[in-house]
Amino acid sequence: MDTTVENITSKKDQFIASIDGTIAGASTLSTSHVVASIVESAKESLASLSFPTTRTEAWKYTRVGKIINQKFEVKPTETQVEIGTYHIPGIQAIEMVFVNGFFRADLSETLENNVISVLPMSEAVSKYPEMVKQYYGTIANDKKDIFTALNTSYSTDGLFIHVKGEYKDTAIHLIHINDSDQVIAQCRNLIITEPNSHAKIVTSYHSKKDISSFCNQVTEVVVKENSFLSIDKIQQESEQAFHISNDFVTQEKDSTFHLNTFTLTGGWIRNNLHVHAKGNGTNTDMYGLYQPILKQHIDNHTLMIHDGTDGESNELYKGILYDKGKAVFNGKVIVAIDAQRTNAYQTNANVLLSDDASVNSKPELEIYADDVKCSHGSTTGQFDEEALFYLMARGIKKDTAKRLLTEAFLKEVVDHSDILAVRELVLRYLH
Amino acid sequence: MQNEEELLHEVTNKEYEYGFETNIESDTIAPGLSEDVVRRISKKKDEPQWLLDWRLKAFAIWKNMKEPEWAHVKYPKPDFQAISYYSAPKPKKELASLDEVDPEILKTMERLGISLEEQKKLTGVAIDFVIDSVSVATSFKEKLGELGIIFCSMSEAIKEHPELVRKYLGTVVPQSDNFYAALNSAVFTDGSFCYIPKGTRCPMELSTYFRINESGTGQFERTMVIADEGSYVSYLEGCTAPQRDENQLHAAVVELIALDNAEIKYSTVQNWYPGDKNGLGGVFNFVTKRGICHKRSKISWTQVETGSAVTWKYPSCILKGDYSIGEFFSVAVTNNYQQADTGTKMIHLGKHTKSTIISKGISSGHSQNSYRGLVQISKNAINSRNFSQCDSLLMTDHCGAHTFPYIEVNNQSSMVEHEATTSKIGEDKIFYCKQRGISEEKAIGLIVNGYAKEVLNKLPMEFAVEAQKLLEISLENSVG
Repeated sequence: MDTTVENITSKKDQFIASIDGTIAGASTLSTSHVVASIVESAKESLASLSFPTTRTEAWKYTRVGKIINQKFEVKPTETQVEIGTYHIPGIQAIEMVFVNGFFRADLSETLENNVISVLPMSEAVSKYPEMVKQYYGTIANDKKDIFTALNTSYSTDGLFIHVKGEYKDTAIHLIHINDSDQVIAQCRNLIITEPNSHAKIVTSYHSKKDISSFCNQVTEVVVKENSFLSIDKIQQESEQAFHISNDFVTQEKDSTFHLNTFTLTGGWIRNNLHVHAKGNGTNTDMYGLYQPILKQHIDNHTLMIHDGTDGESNELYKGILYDKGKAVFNGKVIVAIDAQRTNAYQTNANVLLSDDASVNSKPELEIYADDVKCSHGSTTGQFDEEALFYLMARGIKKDTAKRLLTEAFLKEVVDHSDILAVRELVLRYLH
Repeated sequence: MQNEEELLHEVTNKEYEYGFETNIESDTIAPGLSEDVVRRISKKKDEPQWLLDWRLKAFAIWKNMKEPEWAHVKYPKPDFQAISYYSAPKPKKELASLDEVDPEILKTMERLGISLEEQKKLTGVAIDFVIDSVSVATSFKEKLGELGIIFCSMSEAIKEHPELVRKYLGTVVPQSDNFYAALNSAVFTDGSFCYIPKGTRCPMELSTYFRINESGTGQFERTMVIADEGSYVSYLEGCTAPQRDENQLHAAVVELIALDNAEIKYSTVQNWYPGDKNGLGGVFNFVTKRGICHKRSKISWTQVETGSAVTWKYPSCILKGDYSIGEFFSVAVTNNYQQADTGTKMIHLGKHTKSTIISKGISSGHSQNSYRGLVQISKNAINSRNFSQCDSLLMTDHCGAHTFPYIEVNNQSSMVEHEATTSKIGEDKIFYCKQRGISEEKAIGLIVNGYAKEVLNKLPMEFAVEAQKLLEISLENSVG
């Protein structure tokens, strides 16, 4: 037993040494003096934490061995990127492009006015050091999660968005591309919406075909009083791509936060979404869809903490599984002792289309207040044979009929995006 | 009409109704646990070598195990060296009739409302009364004997039917299963044993009343029910325990074996001492219950849990045979500072297997009530079906209700559904009752019983009445 522990420890050291060695000398977000104390404490956490095993409850169904057995490197790149292929047709948005975790000014447009500021973190630390200091590392918890600690310790850059007013007509599109083999990209984003403001963000993740890459991103979000923020996350990475995202959200009084996760492709994905509703009267929607094929592994973990009264949260995750696809859903809702009149709903629905596919679903409720309405449901099954028969009886081919049912099943999630162009894109990429 | 304040005061000061202690001289091994103690238990019980070896293996496994931490409960860890692992009422001779039974025990039974004579004559219930660890009275044995049904204490079964015990012991709950099962395997003192022969329908409900009696003794019961091919049995287990101030440990193991086409119905009413209203004392109930279903067989667990300071209990079904069925119906009530982490595991291995889970949690006072369950559909368990429903009712603003279901599906032809709701007891319903002259207390009793009806209906008649009363008593101070 001791030898395996040693083995894992040395693997961890090698894994980190590879990142540490390749990032050395580069001027990155994590070397900025503004965040120095946070980075230092994260490095301490990183040293003391170990990589999770299947004995770790939160990682029961997802193995990280495939990641930590590899040596990923930090690789800045200046190569030409065909940015047009990552553009969402018909969207009105300003695009911020990161390649291998580094900001590409040549491909992006920054924006600064009295309504909104959109710029890379590397610039934000020098332009708004006070604001960064106030929030950076205060919402994300790297004391417990090794991947968050890894990000804080070695993040290269990220997106900084400060919403001051109503920014309704245009969205902000973060395009994240990995294009070198064995690259680790660690973006660190900070999004702050001031009281009564409004913004829509789209993030899309891509990786070049046939390269092994690891995207380990952390996003911190503060949604202040009576503001509105929606994030559409589109994951479209390759078969060999690993992706861990940790999103930490704090919601203040009467704020609204929507996050839609559309996992279209990818090799191995783990999405952690933590929403902490601190204020009263908050509204939170968490929607997600996934469609693993081949040997893809998609794991969605959500945590919704209701600390304020009169909050409402809706959660709906739907997936269709093909081939040897695996999906994990773990949704946890905590209603704190004084969070009276909270309504929290959570649903996870899965359709299995192969005997080799599997689903592990764990919807959890922890309720400490009495005047609440909370429910969760989880179903796993197949498409309704009768519905299929009905369509085929009307001359629709089996494949087309199945496609119709697929769309019908997932559309509920797709429709939750506020942006038409995103909805169209996602529908086009359904299997 | 009583006002709320008075009512609250009256009921919150209510003491545990069944708290009394029987004074029987006990033959007790000094506290502590070692290999030597395991050997002494085995020797005192005059056990064969194979069983001693089996116990020692379990003890060796236990020594290397850690107490589980994953349950949603907090309690001071028991000191396993401070517990006495053997305590038997002293005058232990073969008893031919009730007259020879210690009158103290008879008195205890009467106070529990289960006078043996009365039970014998009036009801169709045979009672194997276990006081502390050794069973002292068994009734209806002869009647059952005519049908070939074996219903006796575990120690008797070890002596008289070693081939059956040896064949099945530890096959459903192995020694290494978990910390408390390992401990139980090493030091179990007695329990009930039941065997229903092929094609036999047991004509009466078999029942065992357990009582914890001796101060400082943990109860380590081991129960086995074997239903041979095509047989049927309904087994009842009920518990009340005397009031105590230090925590008592109860770590039982129950193994059910349903062979082809057999059916076992296992009902439990658990009312161990829950501790006083400040959370002092009470029983730790760490139980491992599991059944295995062979082809076309069925195991049905029904439980009403109102007692214990800490409950950690997951009656489970391994659906090994094709077309087998597992059921779990549960009502768990927690009040004051009680903590319950209970649920079930349905493990679908055979094809076309079915399982149903209905769990109703009711939390009151400062208690924490959790449902934790696993539904696992293996790859070969094609066309399997599960339906789970877990509802929680919250009575006060200090209590908690939690749900932790694990759902694992590994093939495409199975259907699994799980739903859970948590809500407050309906004020409009209470208002409606009060408007019609029903007191708040009664109204709550009415609503709770209605809420739990789905499960209570599954209990045998005799138990259903008792269970309803228990629910009312357990929730008497829950106004608000």
